[in-house]
Amino acid sequence: MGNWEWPLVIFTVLGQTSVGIIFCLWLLERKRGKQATATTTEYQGFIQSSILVSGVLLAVAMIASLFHLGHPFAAYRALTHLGTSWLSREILLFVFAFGAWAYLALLSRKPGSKMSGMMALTSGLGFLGIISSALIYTLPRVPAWNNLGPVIFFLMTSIILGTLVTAFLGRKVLASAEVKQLLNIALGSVIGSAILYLLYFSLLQATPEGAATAQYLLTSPVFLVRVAVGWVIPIFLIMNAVLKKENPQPQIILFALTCGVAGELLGRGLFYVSAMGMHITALM
Amino acid sequence: MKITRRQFIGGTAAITAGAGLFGFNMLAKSDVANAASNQTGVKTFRNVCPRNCYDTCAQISYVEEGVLKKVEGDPKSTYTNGKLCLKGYNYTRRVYSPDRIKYPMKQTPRGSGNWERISWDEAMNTIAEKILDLKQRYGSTLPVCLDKYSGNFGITHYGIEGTLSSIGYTTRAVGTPCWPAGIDSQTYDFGTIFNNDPEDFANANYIILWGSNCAWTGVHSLPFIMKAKERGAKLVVIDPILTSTASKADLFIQIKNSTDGALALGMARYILDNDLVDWDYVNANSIGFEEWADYVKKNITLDWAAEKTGIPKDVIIQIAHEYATAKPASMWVGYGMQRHTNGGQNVRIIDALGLMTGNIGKSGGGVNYAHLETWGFNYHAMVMPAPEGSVGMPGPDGTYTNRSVNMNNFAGDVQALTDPPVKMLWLACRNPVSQDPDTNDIIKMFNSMELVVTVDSFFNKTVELSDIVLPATTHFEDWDVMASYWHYWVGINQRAIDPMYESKSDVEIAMALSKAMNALEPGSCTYPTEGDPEEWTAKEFNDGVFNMLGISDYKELLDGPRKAKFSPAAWADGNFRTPSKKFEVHSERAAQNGLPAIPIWVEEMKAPNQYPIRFMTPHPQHGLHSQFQNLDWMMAANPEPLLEIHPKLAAEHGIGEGDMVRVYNDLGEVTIKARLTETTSPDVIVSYEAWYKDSKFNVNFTVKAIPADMGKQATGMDGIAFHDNFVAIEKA
Amino acid sequence: MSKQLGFLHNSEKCIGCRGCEMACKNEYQSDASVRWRQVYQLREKDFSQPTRMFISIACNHCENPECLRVCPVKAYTKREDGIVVHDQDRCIGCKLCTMACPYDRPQFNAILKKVEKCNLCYERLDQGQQPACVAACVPEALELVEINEELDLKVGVLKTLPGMPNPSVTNPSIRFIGPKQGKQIRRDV
Repeated sequence: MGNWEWPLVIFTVLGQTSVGIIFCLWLLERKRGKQATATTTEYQGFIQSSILVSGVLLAVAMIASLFHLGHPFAAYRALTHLGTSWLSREILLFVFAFGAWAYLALLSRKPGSKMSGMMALTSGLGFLGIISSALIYTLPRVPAWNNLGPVIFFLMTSIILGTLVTAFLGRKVLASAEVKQLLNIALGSVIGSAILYLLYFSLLQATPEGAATAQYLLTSPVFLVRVAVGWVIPIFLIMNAVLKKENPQPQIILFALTCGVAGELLGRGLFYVSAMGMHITALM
Repeated sequence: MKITRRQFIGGTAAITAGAGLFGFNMLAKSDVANAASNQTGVKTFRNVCPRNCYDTCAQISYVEEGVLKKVEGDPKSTYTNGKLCLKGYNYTRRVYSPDRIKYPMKQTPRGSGNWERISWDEAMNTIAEKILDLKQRYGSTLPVCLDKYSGNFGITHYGIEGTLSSIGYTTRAVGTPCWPAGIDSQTYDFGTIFNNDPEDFANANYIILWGSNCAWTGVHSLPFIMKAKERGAKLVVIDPILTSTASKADLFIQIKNSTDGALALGMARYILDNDLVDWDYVNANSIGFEEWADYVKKNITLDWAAEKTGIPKDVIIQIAHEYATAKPASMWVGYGMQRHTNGGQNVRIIDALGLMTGNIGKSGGGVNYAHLETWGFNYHAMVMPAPEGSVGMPGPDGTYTNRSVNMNNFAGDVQALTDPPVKMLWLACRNPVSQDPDTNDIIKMFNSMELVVTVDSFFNKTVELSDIVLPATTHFEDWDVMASYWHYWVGINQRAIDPMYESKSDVEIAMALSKAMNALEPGSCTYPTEGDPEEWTAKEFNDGVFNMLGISDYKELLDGPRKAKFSPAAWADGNFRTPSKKFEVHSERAAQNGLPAIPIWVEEMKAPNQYPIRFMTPHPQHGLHSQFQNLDWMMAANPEPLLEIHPKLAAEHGIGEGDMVRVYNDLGEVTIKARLTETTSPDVIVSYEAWYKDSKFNVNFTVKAIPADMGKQATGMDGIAFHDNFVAIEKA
Repeated sequence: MSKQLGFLHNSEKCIGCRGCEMACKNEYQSDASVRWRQVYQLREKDFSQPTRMFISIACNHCENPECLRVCPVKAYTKREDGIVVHDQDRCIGCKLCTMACPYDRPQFNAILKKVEKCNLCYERLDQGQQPACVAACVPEALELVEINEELDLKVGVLKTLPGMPNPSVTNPSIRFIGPKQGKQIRRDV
């Protein structure tokens, strides 16, 4: 069994959220571009602040990741093994993503600049970074990780939390349809995530180590909480919000977001702690 | 690519430096990888591991800039063969442990943990004043009691006995807990203990390890046994526990505890019935054999032996036949099997098996138990006269002697003394609060003392109950000479590094005490106050030792240890040391001590109804008694004690793997984590005695001071039947 | 790579004395928090009769070392003789190798906050000496060998033992001679 890797939990969940936000902004920009919706100052402000939130999250995430290292000040060396190390590649891609974000942040300060291209680039680099993150854990030694699971769930986290954060930030500015669109994506992702998790569980049974991971999760009270706050409650809340005719209530979005964040953090914590690698089975 | 170890060791140092002025950081001064090779700056010294162990390994210590960097086996000893055991490789952690006692310290009140550093002067004056005060109050130094045993078997450490002799007649813990029943049995039979050279196992055609787990307790003998095995010899292990040693046997026989004599008698019956007796050897070398053969034929049947021991008859027949016909066949009688109320008697029966098959005095044979043939030193540090006018226990001729108390019932016997009572304890090379039976009674006895002084290197359980602790040097900090009670090698032990902190050797402590005593009351202590450690060691040698080793000066041992020039087979000359000069199957001396004259069956101790489970507490792998297990590497490798329990017994008590189990009897209790294993039997649980750092674990809370049947003849006191310990268990 | 060095562990000879494990620590004075070499007692239920059987495992200097693949700082290199060397100067303590190795052999030094592992005593080898563990093995159960087809074709040489992870993950450069059990007369049967 692994450990509660909190720095990595913070890094991955916040980093993924950050990328998800830019992705949502790109979705909104693209739609507005197509519909040639006039840009208001409020909307401009929303874009600016959302980009800022995304950047702050990415920065916090990257700083948190340093706390995982025995020697944080030597972290720069982690870029030196791009040949085979997904960790090297992940860091490079996140550095690029952060660079792209910085340019995007600059653009957002200039009135009238076209940002959707840069948003696509930033979130694209971010998604590549997230996929690299997931591939770090795709280790033959750890059957629970050695599959598409990490890639899927890391991307899911990005979409779920990205949409919820963006919806919340845009609660006053965005059109009801826009908010609902974001929430619909969020709902689909949460439901998808829950269903994929069930499939993932059956996959775990294929190996003794995977079965041990499943067994750990099923008997862990933390996992129960994660199921409740990460899947059940958000599904209920978001469904409630999108099905109502009137504008979704900000409190509901905030509540769903809070639950989603807690669920994803706990879920990620469990991801590390429940990992059972192949090992020498002997008396200890 | 070059890895510099300097950096990582340096990092370690920065952290541990906080632990004290010295510590493991002393290891950090230079490049360890380079220290491994014989480069400039690395000096090597000869040392000998002084622990209470069969192997008494010859060591080479690597020292750079005054720091012990590593310890290896000395290839010049063909027994040690350049290799140490896991304990021997831990020595740097012992020398540089931050837990070492660094200075003389005083604890007020005793047991409080409120330790305060004091000077050597203050320590010595406090002790000297107390001794003189007791002498004045009671008219003798008999209220001062010494308990010393096996913490360091270096010859100069007998200076501890000398320390007490030099102040007058005192009370002495006499005896030896672990092996005296076997010593006596061989003393009755052969005249003394004398085993074949263990390197001679290689010449055996058949080997029975009878109650020996040498894979843990005497690992350097194993290659010679395996050499025999490779030659085609069969290896039989007889043990109540399927040990690591037993796992390597061609045949493992799980005997019912304490019935070893019954098995040997069954074998004897078969050998007699099938005319496999070596009559030539028996007739030429023994007395009383016919009487015993008669007893065996009249009283012993194979069916009885099978019933008694739990070993099928055909297996008894098989090993009897094989042992009698393999020629030469060797037996190693371990100390475990004689820790019973009939243990000595059982060894005598096994001795008789060796005799009747003509396996005594033969290379590749022998009934091998131990020897003290290489221990003929001067004991210069030990032999000290009492000060003039000293009073002690009156002897028959008007002289005085020390007063003896039984080391093996130490708590009870000390408390029973009244005229005069014991008021001060001096403990060195000894940790009774961990190692003696009936820990609760030991603690009670300690509480009745006015002063308890302990010389040690670690704050162990005994130190915890002392008033004053004096820091002992390790063997790397001292000169000494060591012999083994098993192999035939003798080695010199050089001072490889300076004494750490303010530690002193036992002889240096004796000299310091002598100064303090004589300053307070001139003439009150006869111990010399001068002499450097090498001189003290040099004075232990004599011509007998030189001749035995084929040297003319102790300095020749600096080139490597020497092996005694003996025949590889003990008793090859047939000169037994019994009164009759023969192997005494009939021993009048045994009869005089109230024992059967011939090796007959004596019933084993049975489990009482309320405590139906036998609790065995044999020697551990990661330590030697209370030594080593506390060191950091050992704690990492073996962090907690376990209770080996058979799954059937565990199931009866609802105990699962890893559950805590309360083991108790009328004396006390201990709670241990369960390890379910079929290597023990359903009526025997096993936990290995040890002192773990920061742990209350101590198996001796449940162990009664039940005497074994023998020990008086050669060691003064009967041994302890450690393995006749019965308990009940429950899930904690 | 011209050859592949590795260990041959003879479980028939090994008595689990743990001398190799401590000889390794003695040689490098490694911290208590790391065990470059570790002796494992195999589970009783993996054998036909109860037993105390052991394997002694250090870095297996794998043909396909996962540690080397995942390490982001190139702390690992594989020498011409197949030894996988970890350069602690480069290590930043990300611990990814400790997650990737099926044998738990890269060990995290809690004081240095860096990983370290068995480098097969390459400095000793380069000077013509045996690795410290091999030199210390009393029953001569541990050998330094060249892993090649010739060895694998020998009767009794095994690529794995009960309790060892599937070797296909990394192709470890360790071979075994399987444990042998004698006859047992036990009281519980």
